[in-house]
Amino acid sequence: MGFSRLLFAAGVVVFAIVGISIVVLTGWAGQVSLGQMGFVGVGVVVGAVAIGCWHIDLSLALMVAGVVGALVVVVVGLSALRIRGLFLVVTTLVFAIVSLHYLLNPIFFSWIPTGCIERPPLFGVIDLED
Amino acid sequence: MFRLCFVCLVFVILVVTGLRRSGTGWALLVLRENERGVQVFGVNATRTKLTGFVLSGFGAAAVGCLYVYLIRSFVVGSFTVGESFGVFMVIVIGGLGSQTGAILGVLFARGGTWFLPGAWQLLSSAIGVLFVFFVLSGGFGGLVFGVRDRWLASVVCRWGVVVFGLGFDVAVGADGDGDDAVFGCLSSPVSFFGDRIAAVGVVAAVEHERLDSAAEVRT
Repeated sequence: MGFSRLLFAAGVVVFAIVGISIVVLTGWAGQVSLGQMGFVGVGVVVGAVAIGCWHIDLSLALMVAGVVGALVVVVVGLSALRIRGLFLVVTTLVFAIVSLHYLLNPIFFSWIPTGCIERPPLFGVIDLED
Repeated sequence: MFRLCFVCLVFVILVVTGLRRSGTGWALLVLRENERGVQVFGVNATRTKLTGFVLSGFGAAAVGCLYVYLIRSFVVGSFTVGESFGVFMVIVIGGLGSQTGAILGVLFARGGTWFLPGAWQLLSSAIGVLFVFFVLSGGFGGLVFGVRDRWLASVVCRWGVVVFGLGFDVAVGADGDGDDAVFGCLSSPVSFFGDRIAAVGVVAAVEHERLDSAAEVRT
């Protein structure tokens, strides 16, 4: 399997996990969230900062990104908790638009790293270069 | 690299399956069905919704971190709002409410991207969504579960036991006379709670001596 195919397959797996997060929120709890990619974007930025700038291990970076993402979702969804109707749908969609085009854009916020990020080995031991 | 993603996917599936069977999962599910009614049972609606938010947000952000580890750079515009709609559509195609459905939907959409030339890719997901809305409510996941349930129901009929979990029919077994009474009473729109109450009601109604002794009740 060529490298680009592997990358594509890994992208599919990532997509699937995002899908499962939507299933938990929308399929089970019934809270329709149209802007899940906004939260993924938050995770991407936190991950880029954590791995690229702070050089912490992947497992820890996943935790940190997850916690930040959870906090962000709670803030976004807080207002929709008590109000009935399609409030959460609109809130998440607006958040996705704002975050993906403005808040998480390196042009506007220079602390977001651009450029290539090296991959430190997982747990300091398992090397994932291939 | 693919192995890491696959391990993460398996981990997420295991965690979410465990969640589904836990009290938290039950609370999330019944919250969707009947928000008011479930509060009677002592489920705090606000706290349950927050739990759902936290779990979902944690998963989505963690996977974003994994993605940046995979791609090794931060490319602005790699995610667009269109992708947000796209992934939601994909989950609807797969059937909202099950992990199997999510994975099937993603495979369907990405399979379309893989095999079809560029301009045709949108067609696969668009047609998929229309297909789900008009033909297959419940999506591909629902189709898979329907097939599985029908097969299980046929097994149940043959062996003559009562199984509450199957949403299609309740089969009451017969004694040596060979009488078979099949009650087609439950159907899929019945809610999570209604499922159980309706099933209990049917078994209680079958107060026939012969059937009573032969019927084996299993939940």
